[in-house]
Amino acid sequence: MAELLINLRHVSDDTWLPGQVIVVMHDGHKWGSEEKPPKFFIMQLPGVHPDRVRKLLDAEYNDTIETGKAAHDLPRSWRILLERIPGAMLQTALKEGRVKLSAEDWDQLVELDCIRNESHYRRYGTEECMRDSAKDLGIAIDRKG
Amino acid sequence: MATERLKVVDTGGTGDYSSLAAAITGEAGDLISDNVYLRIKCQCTEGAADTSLVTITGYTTDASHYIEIFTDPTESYRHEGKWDENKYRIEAQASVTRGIIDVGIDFCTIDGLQIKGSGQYVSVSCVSVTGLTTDADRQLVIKSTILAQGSYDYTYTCSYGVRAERYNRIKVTCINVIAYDIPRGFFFYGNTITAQCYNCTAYGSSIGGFYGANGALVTLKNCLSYNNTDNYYGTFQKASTNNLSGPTQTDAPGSNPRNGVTVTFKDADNGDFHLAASDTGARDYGADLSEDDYFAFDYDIDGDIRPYGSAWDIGADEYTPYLITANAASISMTGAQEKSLAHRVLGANRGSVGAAGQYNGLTASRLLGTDSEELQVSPGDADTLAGRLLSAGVAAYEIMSDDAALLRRFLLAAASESLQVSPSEAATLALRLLSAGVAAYEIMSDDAALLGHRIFIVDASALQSTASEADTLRHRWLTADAETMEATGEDLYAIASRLIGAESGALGISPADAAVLRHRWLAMLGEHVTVTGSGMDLAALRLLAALSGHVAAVPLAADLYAILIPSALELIRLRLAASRAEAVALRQSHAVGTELSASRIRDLALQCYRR
Repeated sequence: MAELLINLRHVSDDTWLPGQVIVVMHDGHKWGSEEKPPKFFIMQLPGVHPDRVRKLLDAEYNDTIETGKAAHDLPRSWRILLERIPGAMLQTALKEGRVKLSAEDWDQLVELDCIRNESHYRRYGTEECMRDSAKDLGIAIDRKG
Repeated sequence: MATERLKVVDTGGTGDYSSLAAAITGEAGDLISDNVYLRIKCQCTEGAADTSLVTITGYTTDASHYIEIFTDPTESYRHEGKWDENKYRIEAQASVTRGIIDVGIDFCTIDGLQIKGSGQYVSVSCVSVTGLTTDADRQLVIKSTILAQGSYDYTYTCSYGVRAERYNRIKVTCINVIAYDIPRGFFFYGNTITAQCYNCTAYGSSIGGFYGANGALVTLKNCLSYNNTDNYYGTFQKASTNNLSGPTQTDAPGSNPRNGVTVTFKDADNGDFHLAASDTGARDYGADLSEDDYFAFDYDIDGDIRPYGSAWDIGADEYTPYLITANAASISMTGAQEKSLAHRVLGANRGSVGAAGQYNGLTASRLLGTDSEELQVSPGDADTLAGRLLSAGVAAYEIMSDDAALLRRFLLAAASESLQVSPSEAATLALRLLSAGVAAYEIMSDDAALLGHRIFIVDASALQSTASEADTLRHRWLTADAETMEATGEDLYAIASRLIGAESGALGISPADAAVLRHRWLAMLGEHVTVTGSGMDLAALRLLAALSGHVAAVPLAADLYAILIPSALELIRLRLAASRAEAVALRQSHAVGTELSASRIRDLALQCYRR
């Protein structure tokens, strides 16, 4: 099972944003004392190998860096839009410091367009595109739980 | 003045964060407005690597409000100049072109890390400073860090050790950094890049060791580029000096180049780039950078003080035969630490000594002062150990047989019936000899220094004296008054007694003798030691480190003071090279009678070390 460390802080220069996946670990990882709300929470994805979700850690490096004028570079391309995820799920995350997602939960996050590739979004700009991108991640949670 | 904000990363989960990546995100913000400088101390209490890619961004910094990412030299999580799977390390794989550590802030220092990178269909850097924004003024300092190639299954690899290029104004300073088996070790490209590499080592690069290309302003001093396809590529600043190119290349830039030179490392095939005792290529050919205008320092990659010998060495390592002080009461070491210490006590090449397995552990325990009864070591075992101990030295340092016997008696006194000392006394004896030898190595006469060489097996050339000369030296060194004591053959026991007992009436030493001994050996009397005379400061510090569980810095008079340090172990780790001036500074910085906590003296010692 993969455990994702999700950022909750918004740094004023817009580099670090709520919902960014900061670290991916195997379950059983021993987290530090500050890796919990209000800075982070843990999202557990049963049956998902950590390697399957490392894509969420990619930084945004677009081609414009070659010109030195990259305007939208971010330390993470992907973000989970916390404002869109179901309230109960978010409450559990904030209260318990961790939330365990079922396959249905993940599907719901995708359908609610909670999983967003920011650079693609800026480039293509449609929710449908975002949904397709999230589906293309191929993250399949164990339906046996 | 900015205050320190200290956060601990421990991959074993006991710290504030379990990865450096999380710490960077969790602490991001405006350090200037918070008026802090952020220090992130990295540990691995369970030995696990930090496997997360690190993007250092989201900070507002300046020269006083910066980030320092480090491993503590007083802790066991810092490498010792060679890649070590038991120390804190970052091992990560990237699937986009980037750095394992991407630096995107202006002021950042990386100190004492190990970084391995690999790429998944892309090229990555161990440390990259291409940055995420424009118009920055990055000032990155990388110190005492090892950069290496990670394992990979794909076409692309970790392509760069340190990479700074393109459009940002970037100033990179690399001090005592090793990059090995990476296609490009130190890569600086572009006319907005200013880089200083001092005492860095590039080895085994399939493309090139040091790059200064496309207008980058790169200054190399005391750099060692060896066994790379191209040791130095591009152009380098005129201030470059004392660089080495080998084994056959002749492209070392700057003044005083060493070209076509063979360098002998301890074990380059296994990533150990410490200079071997037999090296004649890099040792003592460096420039003194202790007062360098741009970045002054006087230590090597594993904290040894430069220079050892007549001049600085070229490359990240300063060849330093290990000397040791030990405190049986306070040392508690296991596993790799014990092994490491055993190697050092053995005075042999780090990692290459011929004592292994049970002998290694046994030797370490004995020399660390463990009671022989607890170890259930028979005299025969001790002789075996002695043989091994000495055979390592004999093989490596050509110790004469008389010297070996002397060493055996001194260092393995617990097993020596003839010395008639108890195990605990023997342990003390060993400690004091070791401690005093370290001190004597720095003080007193040339004779004492020579005897220090003998006892600590540090200098083959100094071991060529005859046995009679050794006796003379021993007498001068050990006796309170060489002119009157007339110590002869049987005084080993007396010497041992004096060393052990100092002022003990049971040992039959007169107060006068004890007083002399006190001065000579700086033996502990009560809680403080009074040290007089020039040159004794270091001796006091070092010997007291072996003896004291109490710390105090007490100025007694203009040239009279006492400083105690809590444990020799800390001294070992700090490798404190306190000079008289530093000791005096310590004294002057504290009021008369000020008692210092162990942590405070550690801080002070560390300050000395850093200076």
